[in-house]
Amino acid sequence: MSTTSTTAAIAEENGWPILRTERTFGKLAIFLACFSASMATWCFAIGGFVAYYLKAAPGTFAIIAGALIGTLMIVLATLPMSVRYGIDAVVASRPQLGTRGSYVSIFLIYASAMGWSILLFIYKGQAIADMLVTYAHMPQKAAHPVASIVGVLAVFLVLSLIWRGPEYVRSRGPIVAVMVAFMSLVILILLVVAGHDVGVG
Amino acid sequence: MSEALPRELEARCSEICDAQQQGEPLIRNDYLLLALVTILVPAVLVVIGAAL
Repeated sequence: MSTTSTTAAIAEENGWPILRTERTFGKLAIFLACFSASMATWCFAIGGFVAYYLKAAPGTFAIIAGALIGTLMIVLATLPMSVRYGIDAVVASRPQLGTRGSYVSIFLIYASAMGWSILLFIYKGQAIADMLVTYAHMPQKAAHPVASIVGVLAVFLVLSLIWRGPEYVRSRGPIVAVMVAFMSLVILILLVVAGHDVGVG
Repeated sequence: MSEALPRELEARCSEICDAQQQGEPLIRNDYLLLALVTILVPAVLVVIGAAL
């Protein structure tokens, strides 16, 4: 590894400014990273909850509009500073909040990430347990403990992946996004076919 | 209370002050496009969605 790339890696790890010449992400890489971040399981969770209150068409419009409005806030809060000086959102909050105050930013990011992650682990456990019960591989009374065990196993699975470092996660993101996109398409087709069969629509 | 910054960080901070080493800042058109996509488009979507 060259001295320049080593210095860049140290800078990235410590939240130091990344110089323009050290920024290796091109337009395609940025697009794939954003695609993999947005094409995630939380879409299903949000879609499911919106379906409690709205029909398919207005619900779709509401989800897209909400996501775009949220994007405005995130872009205005982080992008100008991060793009120009090559620093992350937490470091970018230091001029306003101070070094100690930036712990608030760290807390918010952790709280949001952990909240979503915990929800997804619970969904994962519940989904596997439901599948096993549906296919008669286990009785209904075992569903709760199995959901808990699968949820905990999912935590360790994720840990084993992120343990390999940010570069590994970054490189696998697009693969995961394509898999989620494919599964979403399959689920969408199944739902449309099922809805057509029972005369919904 | 003051702590000395690591030398590499100090050098990096002075380098990033050079406009050549900074990323391209957002310009007026970028902000207009941002406003269009994240304010106008959602507003239209909400109006259409509410009318359905």
